[in-house]
Amino acid sequence: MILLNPFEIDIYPDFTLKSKDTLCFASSQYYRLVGSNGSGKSSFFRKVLLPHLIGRKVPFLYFDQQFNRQIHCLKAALAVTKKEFSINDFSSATQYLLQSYHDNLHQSGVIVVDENPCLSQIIANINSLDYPMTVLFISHRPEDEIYVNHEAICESISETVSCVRMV
Amino acid sequence: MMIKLCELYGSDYLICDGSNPLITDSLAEEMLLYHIDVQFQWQVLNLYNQLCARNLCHSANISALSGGQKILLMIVLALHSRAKKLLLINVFEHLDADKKKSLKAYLDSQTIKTIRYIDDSAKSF
Repeated sequence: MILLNPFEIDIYPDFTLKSKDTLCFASSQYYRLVGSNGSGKSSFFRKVLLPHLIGRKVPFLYFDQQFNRQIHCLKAALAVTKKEFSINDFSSATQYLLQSYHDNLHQSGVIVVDENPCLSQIIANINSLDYPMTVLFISHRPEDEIYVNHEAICESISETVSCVRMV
Repeated sequence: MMIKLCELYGSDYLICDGSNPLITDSLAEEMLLYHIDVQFQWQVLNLYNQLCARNLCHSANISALSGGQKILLMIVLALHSRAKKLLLINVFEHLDADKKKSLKAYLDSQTIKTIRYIDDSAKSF
């Protein structure tokens, strides 16, 4: 269970992200952040959620919006550590990150996915685990609508960002 | 994949990749990179502000824009560049439904540029 206290953070001069309520994200639940471009979804991840997870030493895996930059870092790390794993595309990089998480941590944690085209691969992987993960993701792709059904519960995160919980 | 696209289209298309929409933190510098003449720069701002419902100015720090807003800015800059042909890669999937609709309508209505689209983000690295 992740509990985020009420917050108010200036993202840039004319934009503040704030929540008057305590936000709760439960284990084994998938949450989709909803809002228009520029509403603060990615900023919520970077400025609120991830610092909270780091501060409380909660294990997490973060798929950045510009995932191709993460892939360059992964390839560099693999070159240094000389691990035998071939990263050629988004899918293989995603697989490597998930595999590394499971091999090294093997415990419940949080998966944060900011517009990754391999979302279906990530969710399929998590569904096969024997420990619970909390998943928060952003996607504007129509095909990812299948991860939120009609009974989903929608809650407000801030004035511009909402959160849809899969049930 | 990007290298192949550059080989195929690089000689006559301006390639705009949604995975790497902007290079600098400054709108003025992006304008320079796209060789946009000073007298047309207000058109860039007008169109961007119209599509994005924002009030971006010439001196804006564009690193503060969201991912989708950066992509919209990249496209607006490309539309005002001297390139006659644009290759837009993975641009729509990062846009919300309203902006996607507005952008598509605008691109369909313009007749000055030849535009090709590629949407295959999982393989774009």
